[in-house]
Order: sequence, then C-alpha cells, then structure tokens
Amino acid sequence: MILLAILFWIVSLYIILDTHKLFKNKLLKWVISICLSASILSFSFSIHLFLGIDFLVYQILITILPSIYCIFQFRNIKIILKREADKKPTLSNWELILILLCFLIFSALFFLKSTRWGSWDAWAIWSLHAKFLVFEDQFINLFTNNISWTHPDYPLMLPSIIASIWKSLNTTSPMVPLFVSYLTTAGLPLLVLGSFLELQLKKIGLICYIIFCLGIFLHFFGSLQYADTLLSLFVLIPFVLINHIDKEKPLLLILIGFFAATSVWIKNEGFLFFIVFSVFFAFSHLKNIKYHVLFLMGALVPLLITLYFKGVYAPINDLVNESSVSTLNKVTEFDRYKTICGYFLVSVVFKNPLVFILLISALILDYKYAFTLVFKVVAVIIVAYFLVYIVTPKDLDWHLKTSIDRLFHHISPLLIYSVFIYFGKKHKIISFKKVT
Amino acid sequence: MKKIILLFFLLLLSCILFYSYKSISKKNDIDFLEVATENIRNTSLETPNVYYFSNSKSPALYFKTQFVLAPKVINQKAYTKIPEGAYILMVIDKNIKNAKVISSEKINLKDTLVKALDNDYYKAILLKK
Repeated sequence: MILLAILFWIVSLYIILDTHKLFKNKLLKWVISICLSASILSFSFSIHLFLGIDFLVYQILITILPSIYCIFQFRNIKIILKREADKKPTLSNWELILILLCFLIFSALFFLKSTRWGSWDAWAIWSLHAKFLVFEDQFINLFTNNISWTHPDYPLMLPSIIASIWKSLNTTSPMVPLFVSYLTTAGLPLLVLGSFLELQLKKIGLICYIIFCLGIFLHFFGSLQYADTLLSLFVLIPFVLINHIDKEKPLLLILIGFFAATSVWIKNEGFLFFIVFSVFFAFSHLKNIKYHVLFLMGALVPLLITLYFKGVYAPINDLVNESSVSTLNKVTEFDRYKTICGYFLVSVVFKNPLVFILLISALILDYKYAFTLVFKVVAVIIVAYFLVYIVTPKDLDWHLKTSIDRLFHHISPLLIYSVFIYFGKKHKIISFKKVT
Repeated sequence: MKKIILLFFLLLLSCILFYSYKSISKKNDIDFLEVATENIRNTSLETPNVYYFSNSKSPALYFKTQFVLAPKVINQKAYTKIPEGAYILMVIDKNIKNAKVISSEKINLKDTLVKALDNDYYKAILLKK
C-alpha cells in the first residue's frame, strides 16, 4: 500500500508543480516530485510512530489524501498529458540515446559495486535503525546509549523510508535499502540534467550529466547504501532551485526552505549545512521580507519534527557527550592542524581530483566564482568541519579516516554542478549580448 | 522512434537489474545468522535487553547479532555484572574451533529458553541467568 501511496504522492506533486508553472522541464518536475514524496513519506511515517497511530490507519490516510487529489485533478492530468504529447521535443534522438546509454552504464556500475546489505555502516547504522522502526511498539528501544556504536541519535530520514516500505511489504528484504540507495544516487545526475535543460543549457548540461553518470565519486558512495548520498542530493536541490526562481512568483522559496531544512533530518551534518545556507541566503536577500517568510514557511515542518526527535527521543551525540574542558586545550596543539591539513589535502587532491581540477580551473578562468553563494557556503562548511576535527574527543586519525571522504562526498556533486552552471550561464549571457 | 529507443532502454535496464538481482540475492553471514536466530527473534521477552556472549572475539559478529535481533537490545557486559534473571544469548561461530563461550566456573544459568535453529555457520542459544 505504501508503494501505491508513493506513486499517488509523486503524481499529485507533479500536478502541483505543473499547475503553479514552477518548472517547464518534465525531468526536473519528476525528480523534485519524487524527492518531495520521499520526504513526506519519511516525515509522516515518523509522526505515526511518535504519536502511536496504528500502521493500517496511517497507510489508509497517506494513500487516500493524494488519491483524492488525483481524482479531482483528473481533467488536469489529461490536459498535461495532451500538452506534453504535443510539445516539440527538446532532445534529438542521438541526444536521447546518449543520455540513456550513460544512465545504463551508471546503473551497471552501481549494481556491480553493490553488495547484499551494503557496507558496514549501511547495516550497522541505517538499516539497523530501520529494523527498530518497523516495530511501532518497540522502536523506542533504539534510543539507548547501550548501543551507542550504532549512533542512535542520528536522524531518521533514510531509516524511516526503508522501514515504511519493509513494514508495508511485510518483509525486511535487503533489496529495499539497495533500491532506495539506487534511486537516491540516480537522482543526482537526473536532477542536474533537468536543471540544465530547464535553463536551456543543453550542451554543457550533457557534459555535466555524463560526468555525474560515469564519475567514480558517485557510484562508489552510492553503492555503499549510506545516508551520505541522500544528504548530497538534498544539499544540491536548494542550489538547483535557486537557479529557477521566478522573481515575480517566488513560490519556489518554500521548496528551497523545505529541502534545506530536510537535510537536517538526514544526517547531523545537515544541521551545519542548513545554518550556513540559511545565513548566507538571508544576507543575500536582506531587504526582501517576503523571501524570508516563504523560506521559513518551507523550513518550519522539517525543523520542528527534527527538533522534536532530538529533544524527546535521541540520546546525546557521542561527540558532545565525550567532550570536556580538556577538549578545548587541543586548539593549541599544532600537530593536530598538520594532521588535518594532510588529510584534507589527500581527500581533495587525490581522492576527488575532478572536483579539485574543476575548482582550480573555475577560479583561474573567473575569480568571481569565489563570490558565488555555493562557494561561500562550501568554504564555511569546510572551515567548520576543520574546527570540529581540531576539538574532536575521538582519536583524530580514526575520526579523519572514517569520516573525511564522506564529508567531501556531501559537497562534491554541488561543487561540480555549480562550476558548470556558473560558466554555462556566463556563456549564455555573452552569446545573448553578441546576438543583440 | 523515441518510443522504440525508450523500450530498448527499458529492456536493457531490466537485464541489468535481473543480473544484479542474481548476484545480490546470494546469502551472506547476516542471512545465516538470521536463520540461526529465528526462534529467538520470535520469542517475546519481558525486557528488550539481552546479554551477548560468543566464542568469536570479532566485533562484527556482535554488531550483526544486534542487526538480526532488533528490536531487542544486545548488550555486552562481564558475566558477573549481569543481574539475576537476565537473558543471555550465546552465539557460537562454527568456523572458530574454540567453542568456549563463557568460562565454565562462572556459569550459573537456570535453564535454556530457546535453542535456535542450527546451521553450518552459527548456533545461538538463549538462556536465563
């Protein structure tokens, strides 16, 4: 039943995006609708657990709501379908073949690297949390420090999506986390392609899409089945949406606020992203109160649910719990700075050479790229991560080894997209000026 | 033409999914442990806490036991510190020759509650202290 509900939600949200004319591109509308549906499923499933609502009642409610909307919008669906059929295609046959071929290679590489139950953290953290959530009367057992190694304070977006499908299908099959991970990873190249096509930057968009599909940075992390790729996706979405805001009708700001705040519900690192993003976003639109109101409207629900979870259920985070006054003394230990710089350098230059080359090239070609919102947000996030490593109560080498690559994975897709979109837009403006 | 391209794409994608399913559906140690603990999973206890002992020193087996037995909480504690009446889970990894789970002089276990389904890889027994 949950799968049916997801389908109805996707269609309903597609209709809403279409009727409000937020985007023209079909692919972008589908990707945003799917991401929104996944978020709604996760939040609603968690609320049903928190409030102790019977699972059958929850399933009926979550399915009936969008299905009623779809029935009322039946005429609209027919109009949309007719309009899409009459529309002149934006892609030639060869371009379509190229896109689908890249997607096939992406899928083959993803599944080739995937393993049953995923890598260590996939089953020891994310799927384990999902197993607890399947039991509505015992899910609370998870929130104990007796099993602190599984980080019971971690937010519940990925576990709740997996648990809701498991429970609905009456199974705990490893195929569910695998397919959730596949769809999440596939969402990144498709979102990027949709965004470029919407902005009519087809050629540069295709290059960016091919990099996303064939680049090792995506398959490797995606196939691990961790929540990090989901966070990468939700970190990227707000920046993609910013590129499509209609200044006359800034309704997209609700979605930007929603997606930015939902990153908080995926991983604890999402908190840092949300705060940094919100501050920079607020400063870049200081005089526009309407922008702030719409952004906050979108962010409110995800924030309230996460804060409720953190306040009522989640035990204290291990980093916070193990910190003491002596932790602050580490600020003066020069060796720690050296070690962290070494790891940062290896991670950026050798493990993410593509991102490194793209960033250096972008800054050489146009230093103004450093003043973009993306660059500023990412720079502050990296500095914040650096500071966390300096004062970490954990063994520094162990902490760096186990987390630094993931932190860069959160921002790598965003950086690649931002470089391409920056120069794509710049090129478009220059070409437009030449024509006029 | 576009419809033919899309159909061909879906066909190829289905082939990828089919072959991936075949390789991913091969069972691993989590699945074997799941089978070995099936009776224990289905036994309802008055407390979610179970104390874990094993002949394996590997933390992986402990984590995997927690994974297959959720929503029960699998704790690790010295035998002497475990309260009377608490549940004890013994997981024996058959690949390890040493079958000693707890030193015999310490054992004061009332009765075996559930004997798990035995398989080639693992044996699990639930007891009460």
